[in-house]
Parts: sequence; C-alpha cells; structure tokens
Amino acid sequence: MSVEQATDYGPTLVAILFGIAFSCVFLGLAMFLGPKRENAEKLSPFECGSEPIGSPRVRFSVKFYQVALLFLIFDIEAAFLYPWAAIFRRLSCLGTVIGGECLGTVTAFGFVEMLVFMSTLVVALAYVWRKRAIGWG
Amino acid sequence: MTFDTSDLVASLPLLFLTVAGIVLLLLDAFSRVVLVGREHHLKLPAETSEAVAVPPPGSRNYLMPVTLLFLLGALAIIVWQVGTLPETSVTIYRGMLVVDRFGLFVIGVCVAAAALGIVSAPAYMRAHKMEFGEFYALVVFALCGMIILVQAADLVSVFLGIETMSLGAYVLTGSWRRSARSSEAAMKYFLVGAFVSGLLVYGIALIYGVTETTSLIDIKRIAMSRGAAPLFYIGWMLLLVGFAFKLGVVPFHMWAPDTYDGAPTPVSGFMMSCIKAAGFAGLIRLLQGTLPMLARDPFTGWTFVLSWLAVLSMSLGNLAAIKQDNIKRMLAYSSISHAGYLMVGVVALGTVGDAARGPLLFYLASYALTVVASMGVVSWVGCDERGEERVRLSDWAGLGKREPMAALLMTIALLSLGGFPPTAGFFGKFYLFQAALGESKLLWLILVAIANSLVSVYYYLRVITAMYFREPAPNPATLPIQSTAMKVGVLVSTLLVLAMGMFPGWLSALCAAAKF
Amino acid sequence: MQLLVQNLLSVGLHHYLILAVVLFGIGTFGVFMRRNALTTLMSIELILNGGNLTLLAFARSHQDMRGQALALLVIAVAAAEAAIGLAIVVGVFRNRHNTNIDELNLLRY
Repeated sequence: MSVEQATDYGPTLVAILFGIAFSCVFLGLAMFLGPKRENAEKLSPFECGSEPIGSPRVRFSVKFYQVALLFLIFDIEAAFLYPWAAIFRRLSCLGTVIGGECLGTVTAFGFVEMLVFMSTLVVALAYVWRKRAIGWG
Repeated sequence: MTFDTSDLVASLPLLFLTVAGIVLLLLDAFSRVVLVGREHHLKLPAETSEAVAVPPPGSRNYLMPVTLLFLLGALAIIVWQVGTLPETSVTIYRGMLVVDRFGLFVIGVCVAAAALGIVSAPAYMRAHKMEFGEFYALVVFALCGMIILVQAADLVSVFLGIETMSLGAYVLTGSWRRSARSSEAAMKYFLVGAFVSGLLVYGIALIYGVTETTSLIDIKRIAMSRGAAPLFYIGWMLLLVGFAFKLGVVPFHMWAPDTYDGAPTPVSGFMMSCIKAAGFAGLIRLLQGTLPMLARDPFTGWTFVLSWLAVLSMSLGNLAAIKQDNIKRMLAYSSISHAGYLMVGVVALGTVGDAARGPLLFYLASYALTVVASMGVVSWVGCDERGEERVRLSDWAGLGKREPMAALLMTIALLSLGGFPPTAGFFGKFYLFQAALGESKLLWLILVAIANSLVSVYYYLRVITAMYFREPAPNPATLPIQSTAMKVGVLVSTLLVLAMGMFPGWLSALCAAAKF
Repeated sequence: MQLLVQNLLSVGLHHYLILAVVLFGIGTFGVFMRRNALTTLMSIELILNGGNLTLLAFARSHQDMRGQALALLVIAVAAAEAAIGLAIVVGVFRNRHNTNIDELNLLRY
C-alpha cells in the first residue's frame, strides 16, 4: 500500500481502534469496578414503589412468539416497497426519465417485478395459514 | 428497463429450483394433516393445550420422489447449460451473478450430492418418528442459496447466498424437534452462524467503504491499481474469518462436531457435502478470482494465513477423530480435517495458480460423494427401540455378518475417505498434492498433509475392523432401516466413488475444463 | 493527531464509523460474555446494525445507493435470522426448559 493511502485511512483506523478500546474499557470497567452489593431490596424489580405481585417470569403462550415472528417477517418485507416506489418510474421506462416524465416507451417491468415479489409473499402467507400459525386457537 | 430473457435463461437452474422449492413447500402445506391432542407432543408447554395439526406418519413420503425429479431436472438444465456456454464467462442481473463452467460444475456436484442424500430421508424420518414435510423444500431452498454463492459476482450476492444457504441449514439441523440433541445442535450452529453473518456484513461494509463498489471485478481492478488500504485488509480478513467459520476450519470449528453429530443424519450428510463444496467454491472465487494479488505477501498474504489454518485443521481434526467412539462424530471431525486438505488446495491456487483448480474441484466432488455414501450407511444402520441412533463403535461390531451390503459399502466409503486406491479419495489427494508440488515452497505443507492422511487411516480402519472382525454385543437390538430407496442411493454414490477412482480421467478432464 | 482532532470536531463520516465500531465491539463483547441465548441474539443484532451503519455512512459519503440497498437486504436477512433464532430458542426450551448456552452439553464426548 502507498504512503498516501495510509494517511488517507490513518485517522479512520485510529478512530476504529479508539472505538474498540472505548467499548471494551467501559464494559470492562462496569464489570470489574462496579460494586456488587446485592441485597433483596436491590434485586427485586422496581414497580413504581409498590410491592411486586407475583413472579415477573410469567410464561407467555407460545402463540405470542408465533405472532411476533410472523409480524417481524412480513413487516420487514414491506421495507422493500420503498426503494421500489422510489425508482418505479425509471424501472418502467425504456429511455431517459426527465422530471418524472418518461421519454421512451413505458413498460410493465417494474410492476411485474413487484408482482413476482408479492406472489412469493402470498405463497408464504398461504403456507403460514395452512400450518395454522395465524389465528388464536 | 425491460425483461432480459438472456438473464433468465442463464440463471435457469436457480429459477427452476426456486420454483421447485415453492411447489414443494405448498405441497407439504396442502397435504393431509391430522389434529392430535397435546399428549402426542412431547413436552409441549402447558399453554398449548388445544389440538395441533400434524402430518400423519408417512404422509409426506411422496415428496421425496417429487424432489428427486426436480433435482434431476436441475441437473439436466446444468448439463445443457454447460454445453451451450460461450468460452468467456457471462455476467447476469447487472453484475450480480456470473455464469461459467467453474460455477456450473460446483452446482452440479451440490445438486447431485443432495439428490443422493435425500433418498434416505423418508426412511430415516419414519424410523425416528419425526415427520417433517418442509425437509425437501428447505433442502431445495438451501441449494438455491448455494447457487447464488457459487455464481456470485458481487459481495451482495455472496452475502445473500451464504445467508439463504445457512437459514435453510439452521432449520434442517433442528428439524428433529423431539430430540434435545437436534435442537441443541441447531442452537449452536445458529448462534455461530448468525455471529458470522455479522462479521461478513461488517467486512463487506469496510471493503465497500474503501473501494466504493461491491462488484468483485471492480474490487479486483481497484485493489490492483491502488494497492490495499488498511481498512481493506481488515475487511477481507473479516470475510476470511467468516468463511473459515462456515467451512468449519480450525480454530473456527467448535460448532462443527456438535452440529454434525446432533443433526438428523441425512441433514449432516447434506451439510458436510454441499455446504462445504459451495463454501469452498465461494472462497475460491473471492480469493483467487478477486484477490490474487494479495496471495503471496509474507505474513499478510492469504496463502500464508490459509496454510496455517490448513495445518491446524488437518492435525487437530485428525487427533480429535482418533478418540471418537461415536462414528457420526468421528466423521464430523474427519470432515474438519478434510476441510484442511481442501485448504491446502486453496493455498496451492494462490502459489501455483490455475493449475491447482482442477485437482481442488476433483477433491471437492470426491469428498462430497464419499460423505453422502458414508452418511447414508449411518442412516441405514438404524436405531434401537427407543429411536436412538446406533452410532457407537460397539453397535457396529459384527455388521459385516448382519448387514453385509451396508458393511461393504461403508468399507469402500471409508477407504475413499482415507485415500486408498482404487477409490475417488486416493486420486483426490494424489492430484491435489501433485498440483501443490509445482511450487517447492509448499513441500512442508504436503508433508504435513501426507502425515495426516497416514494418521487418519488408523481411525477409518478401526471402524472396518469393528464391522468385520469384532463379535457383536450379546444384545444387538439394532433395527436396520429397510428401505430400497436408501439402499439404492448409497449404492449409487459408492459406485460413483469407485468409478471416479478407477477411471479418474473423465472427471479430472471435466474439472480442468471448469474455468472461471 | 491534529487530523484526528479535526476529524472529531465536525460530525462526518468518521463519527458514524466510530459509532458503528462501538456497536460492533459491544455486540462482539456480548456474544463472548453473555451466556443466555436471547442476549447473544440481541448482541448479534447489534453487530449487524454496526455493519449496517458503516454501510450507510459510506454510502452517504460516496453518494452511492448500493450501500443503502445492501443495508436493506441486511435488515431483511437479520429479521429472518431473528425469526429462526427465536424458533430454535423455543425448541430448545421445550426440550430442556433452559436457554443457558453453557448448560447445552448433551453433545460432548
């Protein structure tokens, strides 16, 4: 590598080392220096000053996990719609786009691509539905 | 923009297998289920007291032939594509994937190994009372990931390929839901794998930051012209560590024995053969295809780093395998040491150059088929009344009398793993070491590798002597799995191993022609 | 050193990179130090987000959309990974009633 590049990225490298050291030092300090005086009062969960009722470790029904997982997946897939919407005009245009106007033939390319993506999601939904993972009971 | 039919045709294996996976998934979802109460589900949490829908035993067996047809179809497409491929490689999907003989060869090996492996799945699942209809769809989806990885021409597709492949493998590892060992294996594999994907993302981000691109060709051009900046080094080191984890190379191997041991046997076979082949292909593309100029630097070049990984992997894998009483675990450690031999091949690629690629591919193919054969026999030997697998050496004593066919096929597979003629394993090692000897600097590495293969003979022969010369335990409660499909699958893969050993010319010619 | 100080005074690429490395460091620390599977999962998410932040910072400084597109893919993959991870944790819990990694020791020889 050349000297020029070394100076180019030198600060970044130093910064990265600094970052690693910083996170390690503070986590380490908290671990080793922090006094650990544990007593019943300190270990009990804080509930607005009132006595906690029952154990906080209630077992949740596995249904909650299922719904959460499904939400997670389908929610994230929606994120792909945004970039698609942002470049939709350019995707559907055979030619240059100026000011949102297509100066060539308009094709169904962008639309069909999204249809393909969506139908994959529908397949996933059909699978989930048949496996009785949606619904509560 | 418009549809580019040439892209679609060039990526036909990938598209075909994606559709196949979706079809298999829907077939499973819309096949018959029965409602059973919670007493049929071991250790379900008390809250799910209502009946759950489960597939009745054997109701998903028909998916195996369907999957087999799909995989054979994919193989036919690959063979057709090899025939029509132009001399230079073709980049498709705006530089995301590249179609060339190297990629098609590795994909062909993966699909073939998967096809030979899944035939033992229905019988295995029936014997172990695990009904998992998604098995076939997940295998096919994982294969799609391997295709993306093997044909990757961009760091984005490298990442996507690895993840698609791994996500399938995580679920497959944990698919034997009643078995605590299977879910433990899945947990270990998943935690390591997810950590590795973090390393990969970070490495890719750094490389992107330095080069302003993710395309492998552009990265090669920029690294050639400008040299490598420190951040670039960190980036590709992270990628290298990521691949080393995925391939189970010492010192990044701690998940491998547990995962291969705990996963259902057909899944272990699939992972040891296909994931290893695809992972090594991706590594070769990344190192030799993209960063050949970083190969020979003293201490920081990848040949230096990889040669030490190879030495560690071969030696520690073999030493740990010697101690094993559990045959599945022994094969898992042996796969770690084989990853070491393959690393010797990658080092040779960096020093000798293209001449080593054919031998490396030959080794990959021979190892993949041998593993499928040996794991098929492990499934074949079966389980006891409680559904526990019989994988102890003592369980295999006297197998030569009880199941002569299984013992014979296992003997051939073990001889191939140990590198005896006339099996594929012998020529795999022979070609690889011969190619590496083109550079005298690698002599020490070859000597270590040869010493290691001599050591490995000990534990392979131990299994063979147990099968033929040890008296079976007085209470051989083993129930071998009787399944024609499984036996045919093991037989075909063993015959291929033998054929590759007796007539190595055709395959090595094919490997030598598999260029970038 | 002067360059470093100068770099640290105006919010720019390096600040994002440092934050990303801190996230990456905390995540790695968590993966190696925490023994609960769920905490490990959260640490892995931190690592992925550190990588994502790096990607986005570079994409912004290069005026290039590729980094952003990759970050989106990483988010989707991370979601899929988290889903599978949680399913595996539930599976282990059903079998073992425990998610402590150190106590997963069936697979020893």
